[in-house]
Amino acid sequence: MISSAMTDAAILVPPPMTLPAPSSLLIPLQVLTFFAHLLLVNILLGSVLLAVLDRRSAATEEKNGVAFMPKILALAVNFGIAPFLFLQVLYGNYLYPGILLMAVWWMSIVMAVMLAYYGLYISDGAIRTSRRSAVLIPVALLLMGTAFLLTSASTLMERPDQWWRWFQEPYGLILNTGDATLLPRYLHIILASLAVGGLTMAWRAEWSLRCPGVDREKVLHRRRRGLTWFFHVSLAQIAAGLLFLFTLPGEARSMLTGGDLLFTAALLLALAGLAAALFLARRERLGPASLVTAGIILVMVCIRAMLREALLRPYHASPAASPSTALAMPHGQTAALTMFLICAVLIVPVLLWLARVVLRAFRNSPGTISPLGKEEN
Amino acid sequence: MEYPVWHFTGISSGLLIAVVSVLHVFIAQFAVGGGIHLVWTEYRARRQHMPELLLWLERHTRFFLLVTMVFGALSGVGIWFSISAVNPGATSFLIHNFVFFWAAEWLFFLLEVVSLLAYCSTCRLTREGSMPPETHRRIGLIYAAAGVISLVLINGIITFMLTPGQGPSSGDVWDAFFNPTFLPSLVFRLALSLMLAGMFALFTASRIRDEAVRRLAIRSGAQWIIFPFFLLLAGSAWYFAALPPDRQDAILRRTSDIHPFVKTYGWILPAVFLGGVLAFVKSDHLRRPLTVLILCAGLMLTGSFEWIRETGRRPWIVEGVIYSNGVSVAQAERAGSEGAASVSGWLRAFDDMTGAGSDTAPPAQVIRLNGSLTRGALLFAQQCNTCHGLGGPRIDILPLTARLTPEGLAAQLQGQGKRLEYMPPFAGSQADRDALVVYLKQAEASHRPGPIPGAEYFKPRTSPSAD
Repeated sequence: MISSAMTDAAILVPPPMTLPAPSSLLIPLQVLTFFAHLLLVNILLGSVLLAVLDRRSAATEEKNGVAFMPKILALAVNFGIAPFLFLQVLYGNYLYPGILLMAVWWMSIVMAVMLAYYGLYISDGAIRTSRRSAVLIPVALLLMGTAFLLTSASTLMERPDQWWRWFQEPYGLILNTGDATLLPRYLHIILASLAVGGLTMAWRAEWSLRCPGVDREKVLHRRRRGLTWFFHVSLAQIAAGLLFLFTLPGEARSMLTGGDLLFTAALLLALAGLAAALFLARRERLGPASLVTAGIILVMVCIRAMLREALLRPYHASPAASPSTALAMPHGQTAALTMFLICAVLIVPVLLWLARVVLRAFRNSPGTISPLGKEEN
Repeated sequence: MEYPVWHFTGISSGLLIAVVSVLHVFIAQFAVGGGIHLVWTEYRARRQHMPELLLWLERHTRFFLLVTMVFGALSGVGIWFSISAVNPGATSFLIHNFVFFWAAEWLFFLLEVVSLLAYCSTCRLTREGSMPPETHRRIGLIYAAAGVISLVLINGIITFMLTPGQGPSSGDVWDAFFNPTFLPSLVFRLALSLMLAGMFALFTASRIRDEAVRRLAIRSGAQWIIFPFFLLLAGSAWYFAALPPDRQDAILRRTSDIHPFVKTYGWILPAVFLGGVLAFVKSDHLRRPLTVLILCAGLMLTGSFEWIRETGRRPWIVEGVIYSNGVSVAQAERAGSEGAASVSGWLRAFDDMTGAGSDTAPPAQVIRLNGSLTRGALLFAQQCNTCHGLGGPRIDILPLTARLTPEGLAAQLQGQGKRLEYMPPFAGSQADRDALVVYLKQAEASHRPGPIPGAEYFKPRTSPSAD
C-alpha cells in the first residue's frame, strides 16, 4: 500500500540505473559479504567493549593481549568495502541521498575509524597496562559512534519520507533521529557485539590453553566468563529484538509476525537458533554455540535485506518513480563477472596457504601460540 | 542533478575529494612500490648476509604497515565516502559499469591485508628460524603481486574517465577498461610507486644507528628513486602523447586553474631526482629533515600530477558522458529545453513548495524551507559547487562574476560550454539562469557592501517566493 507521504517522497527518489548483473546474484553477494563484515565488526566491537567493561577477563592487560584487535579491524574495514559496493549497485539511488543528508557525519566515520585503528596499535604497543586499558576507552567510544552513524545511514536510506528535512537543513548534519527504529536497531547491534565479544573471549581462553605453562584455572575461568557474557547479553537481546520489532512500520511488522510466510519463518528460525545457542552456552559447548550464533547472524542479515526491500518496494512501484537509466556499457559484463568469480576462487587457496604457513611458524616458535593472541616468552 | 547536494558553498566540494584523493594516492602508490621494495631488499640482505639490514627492514615493515594499512586503507575508504557524498551521479555511473572490476580489486586488497599482516608478524619468526626465509619471501611476493594487480584494476577505471576510448560507443566495458591511456598510465604509476618506496625507505633508514648499515640502506633507497625516475620520464611523455589533442591543449594552454600545477610538476620532477642523487652521494650526511623534504617533494609530485589529470579532463568526469559537475550529457540537453526541474526531482519538489513550478500542493511533511536555500542557491550547489567555491579558496566564483553585469553573466551562462569550453554547459532554462544570476549577484553583494548592481533587471522574471 502506498501512503500519501510515500507518494510525495517518491519525487525525491532518483531513477535507478540498470543492473550489470541479475539481482538474484548481486543480492546474495551483498548479503554474504555484509555477513562477514558484521561478524568481524561484532568480534572487534565486542572485544573492545569487554576489554573496557571486564578488563581482567578480557585479558587485554597481558602482553600482546590487544594484538588481535587491529588485525580484526583491518579485516573488518576490508570486508566493509564489498557490501558497500554491492549496496551502491543495488540501492544507490536510495543510499546516496541518505548519505548526503548526513554528509558531515558520514565523512567523520573515516576519521573515527582511523583514530580507533591507531588507538588499537598504541594500546598494543603500550608497556604500562593501565595506559593500555585507558587508550581502549576512547577507542570503544569511537567505534560505538561509528556503529551509530552507520546505523543512521542505513536507516535513512530506507526513509525517503524523511528526506524532506534536507530542505530545512542542507548542510549534511541530519541524523535519522526521527526514525523510531534507530535506537532499538543500534541497541540490537551493540548487544550482538557484546555477545560475540563474549564468545571471542572464550575462544581466546580456549586457544591459550594450548600454550605450555599457563594457569589453567585462570584460563578456564576466562572461558566460562566469556560464555556467561554471551548468555546474559543474548537474553537481553530478546528484549531489544522485541523493541525493534514493535517500532517497525506496521506493514513490515505484520510481515514478520505471520503476514508473510518467508519473513515469519526466518524470524522463527533466528529465535530457535537463539534458544539453541543459549542452551549450548549454558552447557559450555563453545564450538557449537559459536556456529549457531554465526547462523543466527546470517539469518538476521537476510531478514535485514528482505526488510529493506519491503520498505522500499512502494517507492519502486510509485507512479512518481522515474524509469531506470540504461547502463552505458552493458556488453562484457558477464566476462567481468567471470573474472571476479575466477579471482575469488583463486584467492582462497592463497589465503589458506598464508594461514597455514603463519600458524606453522607460530607453532614452531617456543612460547608463541597464535598470531591473533600470542603469548611470547 | 537527481540527488540532493551537500551544501557547503565556502569551498568547492571538489576540493574535498582532491585533498583526500591526493593523500590516498600518495600512500597507496607507496604501498604498491613498497611491497616490491620489501621483497627485493630482503632478498638482497639475505644473499649478502647482512643481518643488520634485515633488522632495519623489520622496523621498516612495521612502519610500512602502520602507514599503508591504517592511513592508506582508511583514506581509500575516504575517497569512496567523499565521492559518494559529493558527486553521487557520477559515482553511480562508474560503480554500475565497473562493479566487477572494483569487486576484483577488493579481493586483491583482501589479499594485500592478509599477506602484509602475515609478512609483518613473521619477520621476527623468520629471523629466529621458525619460518624458512624462502617462505617469508614468498609471502612478500604475494603481497607485492596483489598490490600491483590492484593498481592495474583501478588504473583501468581512472584512465577510462580521462580517455574513455571505444567504451561508450561500443557499449563494451572491456573497451572502456583497456582505453588509450591504460598502458602509459600504468607505466607512469608503477614508476612513481617505486620512487615513493625509495623516498619512504630514506625516511626510516636515516634513523639507523650503525653507520655502515645506514649508508647501505640510504644508498639502496636512493637507487629506488634514481632508476625509476627514467621510467617515470618515459611514462610521462608516453601518457601525454596518448592523450587526444584537445586534452593536450587543455593541459598546456589553460591558465589559472591548471598552470600552477603544470609548473610545479615541471620543477618538482627534477628536484625529486636530484634529491635521490644527493641522498646517494651524501649518504653519510643524510639526516631526517632532508628525507622529510624529499617526501614532501614526492607528495607535491603526486599531487600536481593528479591535479593536472583531473583538471585537464574538464569539462568532463567521463569524457562525452558526464560533465565535471555530475550532470550527464542527456540531462543537460533535456534541461536546456525543458528546464532544470525536468531532470531534478529535488528542484521539482522545491518548485512545488515555493510555487515557482507547477501548481502541485506542497507536501504535507514540509514545515518550512531553510531561509538561505533559494532556487538559485540550489542550482549553484547542483551545477557549480563541484569546482567553484563562494568566497573561499580554489576557484572562488565571486571575483569572476564581479567582472560581469547581470546581463553579461546571464549571457555567459547561456553560452557556457561553447565559449568557455572547459566548463560544462549550464543545464537549465532562461528562468533557471536568471535564478542563478540573482543568487550570485546577491552573494557578491553580501561579500562586498553596497547595492547589487543591476539585480532588479531580473526580478520581474524570477518568482519572488523562489528567490
